[in-house]
Amino acid sequence: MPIIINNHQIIDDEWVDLTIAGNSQRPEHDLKVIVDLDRLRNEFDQLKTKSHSLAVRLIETDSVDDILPFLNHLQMVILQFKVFADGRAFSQSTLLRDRHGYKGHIRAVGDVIRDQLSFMRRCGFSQFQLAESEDVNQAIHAFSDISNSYQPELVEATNQ
Amino acid sequence: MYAYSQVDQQLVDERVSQFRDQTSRFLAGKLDEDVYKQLRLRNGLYVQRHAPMLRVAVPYGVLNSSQMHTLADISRTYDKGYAHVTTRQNFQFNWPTIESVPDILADLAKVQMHAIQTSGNCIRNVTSDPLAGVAVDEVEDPRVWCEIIRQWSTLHPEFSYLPRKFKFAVTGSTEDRVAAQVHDIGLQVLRNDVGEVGFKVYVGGGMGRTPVIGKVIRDFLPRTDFLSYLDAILRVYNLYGRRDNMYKARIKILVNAIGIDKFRDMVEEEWIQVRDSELKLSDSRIQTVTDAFNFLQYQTLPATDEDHEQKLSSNPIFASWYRQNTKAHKKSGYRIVYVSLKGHGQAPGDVTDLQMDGIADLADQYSMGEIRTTYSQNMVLAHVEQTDLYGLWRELNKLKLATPNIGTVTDLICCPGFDFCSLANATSIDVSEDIMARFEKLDRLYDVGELNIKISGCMNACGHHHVGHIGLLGVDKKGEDWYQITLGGSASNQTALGKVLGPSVEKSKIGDAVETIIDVYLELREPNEHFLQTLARIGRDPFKEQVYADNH
Repeated sequence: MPIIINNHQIIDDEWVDLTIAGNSQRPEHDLKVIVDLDRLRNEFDQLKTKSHSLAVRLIETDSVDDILPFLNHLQMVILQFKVFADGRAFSQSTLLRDRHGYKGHIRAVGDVIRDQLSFMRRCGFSQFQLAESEDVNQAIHAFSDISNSYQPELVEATNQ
Repeated sequence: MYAYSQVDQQLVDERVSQFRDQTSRFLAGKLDEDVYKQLRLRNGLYVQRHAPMLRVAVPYGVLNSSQMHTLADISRTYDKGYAHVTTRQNFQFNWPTIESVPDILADLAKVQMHAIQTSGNCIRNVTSDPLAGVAVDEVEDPRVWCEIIRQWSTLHPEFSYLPRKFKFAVTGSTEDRVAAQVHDIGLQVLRNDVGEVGFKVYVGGGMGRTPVIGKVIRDFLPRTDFLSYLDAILRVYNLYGRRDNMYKARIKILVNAIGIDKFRDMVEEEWIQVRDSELKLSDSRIQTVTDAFNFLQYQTLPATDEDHEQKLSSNPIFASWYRQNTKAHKKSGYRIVYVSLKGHGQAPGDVTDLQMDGIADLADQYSMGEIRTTYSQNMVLAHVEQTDLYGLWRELNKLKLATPNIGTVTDLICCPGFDFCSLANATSIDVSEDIMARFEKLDRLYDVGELNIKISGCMNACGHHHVGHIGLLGVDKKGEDWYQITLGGSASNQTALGKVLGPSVEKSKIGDAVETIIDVYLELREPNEHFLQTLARIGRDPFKEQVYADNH
């Protein structure tokens, strides 16, 4: 599935997600790898030297506080919507951007539907891996459904 | 009242277009039904027993006459010529088609109305005192704070997919008319010793299957910290509220599970981080919202009027309406008028298209073009000159909106029940009709005095039975409608949850049971003793013995 970057660009995914069963091979050099929180904590030094780029994938119950020690080394944080109606990742993303000043990409994965893209972007998400049912070429227009908001704007990702 | 800025209007207009697109995708089979459900709920659209139901937001219960005319038009064009006023001051239409809802929303947007966040697991439309700005016991006008909450909570990117629905109520008076302590967050606007405006904050109250009285999380929250504190509460709830069981997902369950002290610590820890953020409310920001209200200007009127006094003494029916359905206004020469939506033969809170048009016209003629909806499912004309009361009463009479029963047994709160609602276990409207018929005679009604009956058709408690002096809860027993009776609830400053009287009663006997309870009260009360006082003094047993006498 292609990825939407920010609110305008569609790209193919270059990351290898080691949290998915079947992808559990050891990371190679120059690879962009995604690991879960446990692996990040347990193998951080190894991952840092072996991998070119490193990302962590959190689940809804993970606290973003747990990745703060690694934040400077993370090119991307992946937050999941196992079901789209579970809104915890909105808070996780807001905390990363607003509280902790994280400047890397925050990617939404899972049940990511076009009707939530605008909320996600406003909470600091900068990459969107849409649910299977979504048409990426149509979804990209959904960011501008509502053009203004009452809430403070968050700082956007900078390492594009 | 508050007038939309260009930003407000654009947001509402764009939300209509967005919902039109979502609905057409759903109807074309391109949007999954479960996804559409969550999206439509956040726009007030339910699918009910017979048809969809659309709940329209009336922010803090204030409407103008052109909005009321639009609601009347909608009921004529898209519905069956009537609407329903809810305990959260909103309007419900029971018979629109899904296809027509985008058009209804577009009509609403033209008069600065919407259905945003009137359902779904998000921050719901905020409720307030129907006597805001006119009550004699008001400390601070709550409407500006309601509007600040409305803006902050509307399409909030972080808090639109909460574990469960989230309800605010705001009062600024000493007498609680909003049931603040049975809301997820209840706010009381007050002044501290040095005259600064702030808030007493209750959290974790609610009805439903697990009724809980809200706990004080903060005695005095300075007004500049208003939004940052609410934001902190919502973030803690969004991250830690339960999502595994919808019946355990309200904030009250979280607060009870970890205790108010621990919950307060978590909120304060979060609050320290956001207190000095952009959420901090500056005086100029508060002033901008205040200015958008264009608060009404009153004339200087004499406190008494000879002609009015003469009409009161010569017309006892007018006099009872005056005594029962009007209240003192903070400005001399003005009166607050309740429009009773509890007339005989009328489902509580229902109002026809002609009545809506009539109320709008009367508001223009007699009450500065403004109408309020109330927690008790009535309406209020809040700015009536004393000299106009007689004329207004005659007009309300013609519209069958002058039943002099505010605060009495027949002014009961009732959910739509099994007749409309797909959640209900039992009917509620016919039970309310039965009770209203038994107390149709005014002498008897006034003899009983102030007594609230509240009826819910199921344990979701939309009829607030837990806080009724007498509460009735519909239960399904092998396909038949039975009713559990609770006594001693109250939604006032001394909020209390009613206690179950005994086994549930079948439908054919529930009217008798209620009448028996009231007869016991009349027999055993001491002079000027309120129902709750009598109950506290004599206990439930005398009521129980009589209600269940047949079973012995």
